[in-house]
Amino acid sequence: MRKWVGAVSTVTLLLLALGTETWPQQNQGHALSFGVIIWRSPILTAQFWNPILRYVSEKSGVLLQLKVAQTGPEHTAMVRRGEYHFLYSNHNFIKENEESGYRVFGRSKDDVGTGEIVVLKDSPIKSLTELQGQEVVFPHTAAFYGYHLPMDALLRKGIQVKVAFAGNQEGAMGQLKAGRAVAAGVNAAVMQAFAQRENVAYRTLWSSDKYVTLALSAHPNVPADTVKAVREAFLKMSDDPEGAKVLLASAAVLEPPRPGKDPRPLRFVASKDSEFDNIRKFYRTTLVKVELQ
Amino acid sequence: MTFTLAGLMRGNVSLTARLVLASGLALIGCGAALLYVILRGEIADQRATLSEQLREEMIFALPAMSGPAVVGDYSVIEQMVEARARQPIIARFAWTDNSGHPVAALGPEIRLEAPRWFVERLHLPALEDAKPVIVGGEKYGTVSLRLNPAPSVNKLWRGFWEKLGILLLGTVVSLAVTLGVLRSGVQPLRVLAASARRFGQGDYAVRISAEGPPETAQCIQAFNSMAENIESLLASLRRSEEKNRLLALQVEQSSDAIFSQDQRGIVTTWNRGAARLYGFSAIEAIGRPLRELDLWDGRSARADAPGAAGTAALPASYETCAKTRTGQLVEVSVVSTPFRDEGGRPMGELTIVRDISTLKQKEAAAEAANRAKSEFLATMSHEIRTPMNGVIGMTALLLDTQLTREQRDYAETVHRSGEALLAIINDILDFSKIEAGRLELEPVPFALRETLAETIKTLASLAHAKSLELAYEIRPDVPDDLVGDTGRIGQILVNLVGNAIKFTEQGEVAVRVDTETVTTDTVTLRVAVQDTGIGIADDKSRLIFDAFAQADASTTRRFGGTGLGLAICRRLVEHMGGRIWVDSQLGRGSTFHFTLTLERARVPVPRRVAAPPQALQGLAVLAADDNATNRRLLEAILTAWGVAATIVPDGNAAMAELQRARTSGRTFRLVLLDARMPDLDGFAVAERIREEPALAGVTVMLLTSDVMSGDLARCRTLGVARHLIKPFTPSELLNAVLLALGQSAEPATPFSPAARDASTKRLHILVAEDNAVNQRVITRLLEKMGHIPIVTFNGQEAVEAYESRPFDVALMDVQMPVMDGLAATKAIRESEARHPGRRRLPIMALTAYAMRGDRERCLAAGMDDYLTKPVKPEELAAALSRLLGDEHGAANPTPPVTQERRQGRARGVAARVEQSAAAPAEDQPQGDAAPEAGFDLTAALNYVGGDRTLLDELLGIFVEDAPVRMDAIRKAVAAGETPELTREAHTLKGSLKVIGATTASGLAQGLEALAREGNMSEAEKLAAALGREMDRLMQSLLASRRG
Repeated sequence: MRKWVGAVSTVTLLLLALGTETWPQQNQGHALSFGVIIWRSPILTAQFWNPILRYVSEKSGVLLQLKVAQTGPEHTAMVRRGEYHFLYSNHNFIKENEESGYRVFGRSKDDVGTGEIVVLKDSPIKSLTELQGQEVVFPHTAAFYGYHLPMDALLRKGIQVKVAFAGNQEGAMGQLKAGRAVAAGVNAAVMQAFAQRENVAYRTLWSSDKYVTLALSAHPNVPADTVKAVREAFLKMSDDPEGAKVLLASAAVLEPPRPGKDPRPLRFVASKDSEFDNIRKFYRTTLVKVELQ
Repeated sequence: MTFTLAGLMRGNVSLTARLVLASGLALIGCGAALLYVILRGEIADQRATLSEQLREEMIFALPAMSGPAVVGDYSVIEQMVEARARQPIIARFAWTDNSGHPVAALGPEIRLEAPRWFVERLHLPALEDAKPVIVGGEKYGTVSLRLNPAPSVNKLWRGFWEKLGILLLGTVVSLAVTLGVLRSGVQPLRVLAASARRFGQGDYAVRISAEGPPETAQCIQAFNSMAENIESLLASLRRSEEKNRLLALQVEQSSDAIFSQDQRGIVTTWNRGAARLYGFSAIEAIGRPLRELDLWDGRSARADAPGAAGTAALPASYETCAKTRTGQLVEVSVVSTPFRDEGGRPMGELTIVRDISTLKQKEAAAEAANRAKSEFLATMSHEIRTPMNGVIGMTALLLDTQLTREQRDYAETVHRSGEALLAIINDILDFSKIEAGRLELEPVPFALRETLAETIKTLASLAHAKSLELAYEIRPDVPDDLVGDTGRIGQILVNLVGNAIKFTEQGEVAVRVDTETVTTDTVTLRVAVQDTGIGIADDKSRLIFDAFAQADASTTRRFGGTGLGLAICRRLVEHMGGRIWVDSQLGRGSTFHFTLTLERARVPVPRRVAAPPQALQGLAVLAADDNATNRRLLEAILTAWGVAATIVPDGNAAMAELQRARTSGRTFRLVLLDARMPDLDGFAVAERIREEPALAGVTVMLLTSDVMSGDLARCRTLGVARHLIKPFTPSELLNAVLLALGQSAEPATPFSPAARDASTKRLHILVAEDNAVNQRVITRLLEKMGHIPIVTFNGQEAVEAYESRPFDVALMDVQMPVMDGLAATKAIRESEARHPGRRRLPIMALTAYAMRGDRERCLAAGMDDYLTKPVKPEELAAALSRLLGDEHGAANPTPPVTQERRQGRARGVAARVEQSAAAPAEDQPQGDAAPEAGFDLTAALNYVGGDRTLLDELLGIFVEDAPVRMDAIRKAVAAGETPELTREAHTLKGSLKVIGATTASGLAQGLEALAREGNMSEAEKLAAALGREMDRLMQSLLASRRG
């Protein structure tokens, strides 16, 4: 053991001295890596997750270390290779990564949504078919609710549209409102909030099934009690005042504070792999060329 | 060798160098200060910039490094580190992760340009910092940063050199400009200096053209004007030196002795004249005290003579005797003048001495000649008059004897010729007196109108003899109360009017008096004497006032005269501050004018003319006279009285006026008629008035120029109330008018009670006189006048008498035993003051002192008038009249002073009104009739008014009294009692004078004087002489009484 530790140390030092980028999840020995989807900038990601992981580490006794990939494909590849001990991502659900074997043990309580194709209420277009040859705006190619689901539906019905990307959810909605595009692919919840805020009357031409996209998963190599301890810590976090406080603070990092309105904090709930069968199925069958964040 | 700025400024360094150096130093100093301030600011800026850069780099680097750190992307980290380190200000940028693995990069190499000392002085702040990278509470590593100060230091160093360069360049440029300006400015100054040098070497004509800046040009201008001034100054100096040399030469060569002394009396200059006069050469005299030279005769030396007592303060001019070296005395005139410096401090004295011994001799000779001439004249006067007296007197006596017609004719001619000769001699003597400068004026207060009238009156008979009108007029505005020498004024008038009468055959002679100027103190009279005579040719009118000149020789032959009269007039007028001239037309008459400036009397002069009574106020009076001058005169007089006068030129007009008045219900109360008028004369008019019953109440008066035989009788038959001979005085006219109006006129005259008493009743007169003879004379005179004298022997008795009974007037001798007249008068006045109810007693002084000041003394003592003894009857009468304001009671209106000097000249009319027996005395020839047997019977008789009985009485008293007096005198002399002797001699002198014993009275007077002096030894001798003279006198007196 001592020899092993010494060897690890020697290797680590050697790696450090070489300055290579190949330091593995074992770089700190006792810490387990916690990968997260490339979701925001690495700094925001770190600011969001580091307090949560510190709490969970303390509560679970399992030291977790945040690991952020440089790009989405890298994250996808790392997931495929099983380089993360724990994972908060959807990259494990795509067809190519089903082999990685990550097991779901929780999810964000609010992370359920539907995709929609909407037009302005006074639009003459009443059905998807009328969109044939029309310009439809989408947030971006990696948007599951706003692009993967609506585009898949259009392609399945053989409707060819001129695709336009606004860059993000509200950008697509803004272009619809302005009349740049006749229709838009949107996340239903986000669209509703936008319409309400911007006083936009819209009509839904098409709506998808409900999908949960992101899951807390553990690598099959992580011992079960470790997973259990971590799972417990995450699931109980919102009920613990201290944990709730940490969650609220992290939520504030993403949502700029609005007067009189607290950010909506994360709440982790228990989940099983079965909850994500529909999304695995979608990724297996979709006509859309999937890009992930 | 020390070099200091002050030393530089003091030293022999050119102005240019000084200026350049000073301004260079100042510029460098200022520049250095500026440089320092700017650099300091820049250094502070750089420090702040470096600190800010460090901070900013860190702020930027931390987030930038956070992302790669979170991801653990070392390639990105390395790239970023290198990218940051590439910035020039970064010296080193490093990242160290938690494990201590460093990723570092050095900044670009930048060489430090500034030297070490410069960098050290910059005190740059800390340039290094290190901060951890923490994201989400996790520390990912540390960023460390070091800044490179080289760019900042280099920038500062370059800036320093740039500014230093600008400063040096600025300094050099400004110094160069200063140098250039100065050089161009100094150039004219160099010219100026060179010119001044030339000027100093004597080239006074040097001038410079004004160039360069205004300051220099002003300098040059100043130099030029200075040069001009000095040149002209030198020229004037040369001239003045020339003058001084000439003056010195003149002084040196002057024939007068001129020398000067300083304040200490040391001789400073001594000219050739002084050497000649005194015999000391200039070398001997100069430097010696003036006193030592002994220049003045000790006997005649003045206190302020040069060298006598230092120097005098004021210029002095006098004559004295100079003493030469040899001791010879020379008569000299000396002018000594103190001279002072510009500040007025005395420097010494200049003395000019002129030898006047020759002049003095000539003067003495001339004076002697003059004296001899005067003495000769005096002798001549006496010598000529004495025989003339004889001639005139004897012919007069001769004419009183029985003579044949032929003899009488001859004798009258002799008498007339004698009188004419006497007049000529008087003129000549008068003229000589004036020429000899012995004329003295005796101004007295006088009433002009009265005096003039009297003078004219004396000439009336002359005029009337030639049937000429003689009129006079005084303008109403001419002041009446004046002060002047009435005798001399009268002489001028008599001369001019006499001449006018002499040269006028028919027509009139008129005298007009007007004023030229009148002030409160003086009046300038202008008197014109106009005649209708032969006139004077223009070319002669200037000559006639010269002595010994008449219009022409034929005039002299025809009219006679010395030709001195006008010359005398001219001198008299000029002597009185006036001038005399004549306006004349040949054949038409002449007007002689003269002016006189006289003082105005401070108090009204007492006069005999009372104010016209109220009764005349508004009285209707008609006057007729064919003579215009007389008409004006009448108008002036009548208007002055306040009567309503109507004046017409002839008798017909007078009748017409009377007629007109009667028809208008008015009547003339009084008619004044000129006796001689053409057509209807005064007598004819009077006759018509008399014949007219309606004019019965009219009083008629005739005014005549001459009285022809039968006139008076005609007057009486025609009922003419009064007739008056022209010329008359206003007071005569007033008297005549009042008399003419007579009882019918109210007697309400404003005369004083005493005056009224005087005219109606006898006066009680208190006489205080200690001399028995005088007592007798006065008592007798008063009795003859009808008054009652009460005699007292001294003042004490007089006062007692005054207290015991009332008197109308008092005659008071001044010198009396016991109490003199002055004390008695004072006592009486005091008594009057104690008894206000008592009437004031008029007191007249009688004194033998005929000295000036006596009158004042008497008046001061409270007396009212003054008479000199021996008292003459007419004078006494006049004085009484004056005192009591009595008019027609006056014996002789002529004032005593006038009377004495007028002598025979103005006589004739004076005694006309006097009814007493005073007249004969007037005809006595005046002169020094030699006393015969010790006394002059004629003079004595004259003195008592020709009263032989009185004289006999007086002589009797004298014969009894004189021995008593002589005894008293002898006793007083023996006892040495001077007061007694004085009084006795005085008393005896008075008695002797009365009887005309001039010799004896002279001796008595001398004795009195000696006694007064207390000279008893001389008095004894004189008393003996007086005794002998008295014996002789007594014998002749006893003889004459017997005779």
